[in-house]
Amino acid sequence: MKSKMKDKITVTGFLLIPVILLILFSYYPLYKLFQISLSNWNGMSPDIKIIGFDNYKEVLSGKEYLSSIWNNMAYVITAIVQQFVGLFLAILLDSNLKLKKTFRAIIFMPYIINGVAVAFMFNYMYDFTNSPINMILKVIGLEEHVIRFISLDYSSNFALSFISFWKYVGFTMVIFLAALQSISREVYEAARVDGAGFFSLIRHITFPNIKNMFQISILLSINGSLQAYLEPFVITKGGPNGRTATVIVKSLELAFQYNKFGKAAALGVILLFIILAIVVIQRTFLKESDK
Amino acid sequence: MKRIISTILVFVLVLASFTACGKEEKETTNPEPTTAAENSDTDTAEEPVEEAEVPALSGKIVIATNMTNVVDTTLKDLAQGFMDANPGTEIIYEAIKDYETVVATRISGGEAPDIYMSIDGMTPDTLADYFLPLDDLDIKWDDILFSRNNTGSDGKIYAIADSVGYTGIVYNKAAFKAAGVESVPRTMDEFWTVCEKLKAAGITPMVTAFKDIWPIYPWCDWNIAQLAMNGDPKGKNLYVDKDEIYDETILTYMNIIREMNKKGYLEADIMSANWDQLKLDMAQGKAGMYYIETWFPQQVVDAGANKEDVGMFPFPEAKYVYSTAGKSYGVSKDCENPDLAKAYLKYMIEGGKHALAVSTIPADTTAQIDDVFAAELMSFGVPAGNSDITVTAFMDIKNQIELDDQGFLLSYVLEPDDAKAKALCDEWNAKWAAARADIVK
Repeated sequence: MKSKMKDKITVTGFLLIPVILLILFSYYPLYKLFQISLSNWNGMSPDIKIIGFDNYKEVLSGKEYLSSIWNNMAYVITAIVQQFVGLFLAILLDSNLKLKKTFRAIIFMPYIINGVAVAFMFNYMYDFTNSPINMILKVIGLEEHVIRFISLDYSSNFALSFISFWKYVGFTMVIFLAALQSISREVYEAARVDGAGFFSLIRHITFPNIKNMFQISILLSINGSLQAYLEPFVITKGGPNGRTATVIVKSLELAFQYNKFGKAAALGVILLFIILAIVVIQRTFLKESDK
Repeated sequence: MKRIISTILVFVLVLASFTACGKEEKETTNPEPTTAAENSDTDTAEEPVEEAEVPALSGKIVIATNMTNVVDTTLKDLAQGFMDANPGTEIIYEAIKDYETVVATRISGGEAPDIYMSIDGMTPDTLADYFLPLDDLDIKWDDILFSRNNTGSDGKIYAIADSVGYTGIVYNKAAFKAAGVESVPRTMDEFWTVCEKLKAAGITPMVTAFKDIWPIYPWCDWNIAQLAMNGDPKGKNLYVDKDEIYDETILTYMNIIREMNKKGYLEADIMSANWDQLKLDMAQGKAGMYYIETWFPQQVVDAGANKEDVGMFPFPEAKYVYSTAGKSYGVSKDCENPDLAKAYLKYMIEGGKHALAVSTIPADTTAQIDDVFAAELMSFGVPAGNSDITVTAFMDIKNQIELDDQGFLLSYVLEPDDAKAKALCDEWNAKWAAARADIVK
């Protein structure tokens, strides 16, 4: 009896701390976020007036907010491409390639660089006048083909999302590499004996074995891409004319430029529901494919 | 045995986490300024009668500044001067880079610095929510330019400007000389000729630092446009009675910079033109002109230009040189040592000590100034003028429609199609009209 009691205390003790931390730093702020989203708080005033769902109505009817969600789609597309490139690199570096450890380290390295530093680095890379890329183009006589990385059209979002791609593709590769290395070599050997070629091996052995890891990786990437803000915040500040403003950038702009914390919170809650919806859809598909 | 160890470990962990929470709470509820103020209260409480006879200042206050470049030099010296004259006081300048955001957050958390600059979102209706009234400040109000700019709806003054700025075109004389320009342009025709000559000489005629957005504010400010083009001091207030925020006056002004972009008179790619590059280009004579205020030329000199090579002239054909208040400082409503804060504020403003410490022109007209750039700007005979205090309704309408005028200017300038550019303005005008009908009853 005493032993059971001790077990209960131990388990409760270990559970209590993370639960308290979770409530304090995740659920309580979430509750506050939702509460603020129903108000017209200006971020400074001690008085918070509740105005119901007006902020949600404004956000859902304002084309500039919807276009910020659309801007995020560039990051989502890039995140999906990143999965396949990461997988390709993982397969490549899981083979008997020479210097594969060096290549792994080189590709993974951007992941450990601070995000702000990366954004500043690309800020320099994308600078029309001082960009090393444009300088090289000029040196080799291709002056007419110098690139305007940030322009008025939608492609600016891809230029910005490429920064995330560059930073995270190594991480994706490592995840897939771990999954690939967990597949028994004997399975491959047996398939080869049965006459399976390279693509056949990937389709019938590699993919089915790393499916779960692939799903987790894509979920994390899409989640991250919907929350993208560092690159546009540092490089374009969401401009020109909101062309590169992601949902988070728009939310920050609402809060700190127009002092509309309520509306900014509403945008945050909507983003939360979008992410939840994606998780639900993905889980549904997962269950379907498992059947 | 393992279970006993586990139980002890859990107990220690729980205890440690609660201890940490307790410590943190203590730290957050007793920020430095509060502690200092409490100390000063304790000190003075011991001899209340004597204190009434000798109103000596004591304690500590914190002043938030965005002048990160001089916080450890001239501002420190400024504070030291006050502390030497008032032993027992401690004045601390706190440098904040992302000023507006950080200060707004601290205000909302009830931890505003004792003295801070008014920030966006503060209107005459709400000034009393953030600052203490300064009407009892023993200062010659008539000597201070723009001293009534931060008057609340209740008629009390809540913040005071330390400096004044004059808007004009800063130019590099060496660049002008290299391009064969002998005199500064006084008319728009001359202005375009100068631009063409500079471009032909391989010099960027006008720089903008468009990427950083804020450096182009004089090109889209309604006060500046109305005063320069029409000589109308009502400025922004005119638009509270109009359904068009982008009317002919402001568009004429904005079209000048748009035309400059079309003709290749701005940076090669304005989307990557930034502030640091702008200063360097102006200092090195790679750029000819920049439309800004009198606080800027000194920065060009600091970036390496010869002082003799930097000058200022009024915007061509401008009826007035627009003058405006610099940063306005107020004493936080939550300040626990208001006597000291007000005394220091007075010290900052009188004689323009703070303005001079940050290389700006003092708002105190009695202060001796030796600003050669302002002197040159005013030497062209264009009178200085200022706009009326902007009414709350203008800010409310602008905020309701979330109009970022500087961000919009970038889009307007970048839009190559005239019809599309006009459509962009029409869109904002429609929003303005709708919001105006809602706010101005």
